[in-house]
Amino acid sequence: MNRIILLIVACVFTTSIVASEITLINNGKPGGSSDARTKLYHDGLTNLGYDVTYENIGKLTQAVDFFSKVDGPVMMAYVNIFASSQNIVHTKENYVITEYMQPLYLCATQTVKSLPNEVTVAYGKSYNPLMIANILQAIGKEATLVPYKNSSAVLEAILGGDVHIAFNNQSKSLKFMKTGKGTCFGHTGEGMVIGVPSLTDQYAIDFELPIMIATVIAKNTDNMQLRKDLTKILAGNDFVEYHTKQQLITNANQGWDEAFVIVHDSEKLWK
Amino acid sequence: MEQLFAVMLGIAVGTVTGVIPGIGVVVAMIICTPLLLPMDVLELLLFYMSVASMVQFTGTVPSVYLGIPGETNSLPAVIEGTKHTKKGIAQLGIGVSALGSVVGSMVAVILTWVFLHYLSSHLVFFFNNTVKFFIYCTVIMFCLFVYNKKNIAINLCLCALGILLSFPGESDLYPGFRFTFGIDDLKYGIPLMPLLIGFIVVPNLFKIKSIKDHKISKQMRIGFNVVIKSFSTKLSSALRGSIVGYFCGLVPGVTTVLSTNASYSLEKKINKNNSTKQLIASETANNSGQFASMLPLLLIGIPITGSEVILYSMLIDAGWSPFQFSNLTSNIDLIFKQIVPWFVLVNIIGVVIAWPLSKIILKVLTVDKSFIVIVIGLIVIILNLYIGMIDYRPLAYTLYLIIFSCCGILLRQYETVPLIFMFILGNEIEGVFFRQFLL
Repeated sequence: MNRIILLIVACVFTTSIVASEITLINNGKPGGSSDARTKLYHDGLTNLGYDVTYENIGKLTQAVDFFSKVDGPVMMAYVNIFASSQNIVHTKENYVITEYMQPLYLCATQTVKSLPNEVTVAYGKSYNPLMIANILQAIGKEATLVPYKNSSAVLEAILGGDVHIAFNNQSKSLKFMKTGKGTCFGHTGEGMVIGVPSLTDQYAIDFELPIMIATVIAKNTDNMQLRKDLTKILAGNDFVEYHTKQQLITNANQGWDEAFVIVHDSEKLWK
Repeated sequence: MEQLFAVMLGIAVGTVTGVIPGIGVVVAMIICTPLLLPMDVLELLLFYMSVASMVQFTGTVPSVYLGIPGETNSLPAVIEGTKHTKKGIAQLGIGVSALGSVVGSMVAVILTWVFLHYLSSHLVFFFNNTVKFFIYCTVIMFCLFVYNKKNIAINLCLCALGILLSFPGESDLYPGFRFTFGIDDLKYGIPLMPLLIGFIVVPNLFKIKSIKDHKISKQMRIGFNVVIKSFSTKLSSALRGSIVGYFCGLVPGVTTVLSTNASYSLEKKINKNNSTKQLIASETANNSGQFASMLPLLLIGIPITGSEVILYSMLIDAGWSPFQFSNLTSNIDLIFKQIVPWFVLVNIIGVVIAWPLSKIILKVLTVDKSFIVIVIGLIVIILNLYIGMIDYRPLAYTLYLIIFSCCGILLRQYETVPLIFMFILGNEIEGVFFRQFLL
């Protein structure tokens, strides 16, 4: 009898340890990268034995407010560019892991040389217009900046002939190049990415260029344990396939301190 | 399987919506929201296509038998259909209308195929801000000049109110929030659901209540052969109606109403004393126009009818953008490979329901109007609370519902479609106009 009781107690105890409860917030709309990432995290965490409460909010502002108000363990896929408009910045307390990085691209339907000196540039409203103007100035162009709602709208703008140049993220820039209506002539990262050279390799740019960093933030959790679990999930087939398909830059061996400093510093460029 | 469910649900909802006067596609979309939330973009499109097509079929039944327009575009069917009923040949009127509807739909598909394959390489033209600017100007013009018996002052006020209500929250042009007046909830903007219920459903409940009961007079039994024979001799009217209806269906704001009435007027001039031909022409135009009216939304992401504007907001929440399917050729593929086959099925079912089963569906009308009003009223209150809970702000939704319902009651003699248009498209229009002046 005692053995049975002991076994039951052990089972209950083991279950309570394995099945850590966590609230996972989805802040993106279906079809978007945040939504896709959150779904993959959901599957991964569930497979690792987490008891996941999935809050499918789908709107960034509401999701950020929800994250702030939740008392229990909670995590959310996040991006450094959100920090400029939302109330949450990356801190040592909430930062868990960097999932991937991607530079931003300057794309045009003509070659840079054939563009006029005064150009119109489409950009997503989340980007810092002053920073874009500086980049354009560094490549010898005076820019009239035209704001659009999101990256899809920026893509439409360049395809529709609204503007000379589009300043856009990697997935939409890839789509643009696939249409065959133009090409991307530079990006804000380092080296060659998706067949595009970096701006710093081509022009005399003496200031830091912004890149987009996709992270995970959490609170009321053991962030180091969560980081270990997320590392396992990111090494799984689903995430590897997702990152490979999107040609995203991942750096699994990056230490927490180093990664945090990069994210933290990059945020300043988006303000 | 999910797509089949979306289509079948659309057929069921469209059948009932067409028969009960006062419940248009807009109200149907609002009431069905909880069922539509889990749907993806394609399922939403299929649901909407099924509802909108079925309404064209079944809307003819009460128009012909009882002289009650099921939808606003059923007026020619009321005029010419009741002539058939008085002669005791309502079944002929119903039969030729149903067949005409199928012809109209099929002609619309063929016309779309011809035009899109010719225009596919130039469709990117519609992504241009200037083109969008002029399209939205046209939409605004129609909002001002079409609704509320062309009372521009009223329409202007409704448009202005819609725009003002769309302002609080995030702008499409810059990060941050505006017009929140220190109220945290306004950061997320004014929610659509209570606004739709207040300004669309509540006034419609009053309309349903005011509809008088009708009785069907004794009718002759008319066989299928007679109907088919009669229709085959009037095929030219159907083809004429289809073509006129198709192009009129592309006119923002008025779409099928213009399709039906323009085709009816033309047929009246050509065949003055043939009410069957006039009925066929208007009904084929109806279905042809319905298909055409969906094209601007499907291809370039601009809704041109009240119900489409609600579909548009649902599609956006489901992650849709005109570039969702990689490029425009894929959008065309979407139409022909994934929507048209279902559209054909809906038309076949539509014929069966609106013709041989027409008397059965008329039984829906025998239900007590007060009962319908109470049931719909309760559904929308629960629906608002449910959507509010999903959106994590049930109290705000309830408060908005009370405010907008009071406004809806006060404005019940007006068509509030311009307000809805401007509320949903307000931010987008603001962005397009701002960029137009910048570029």
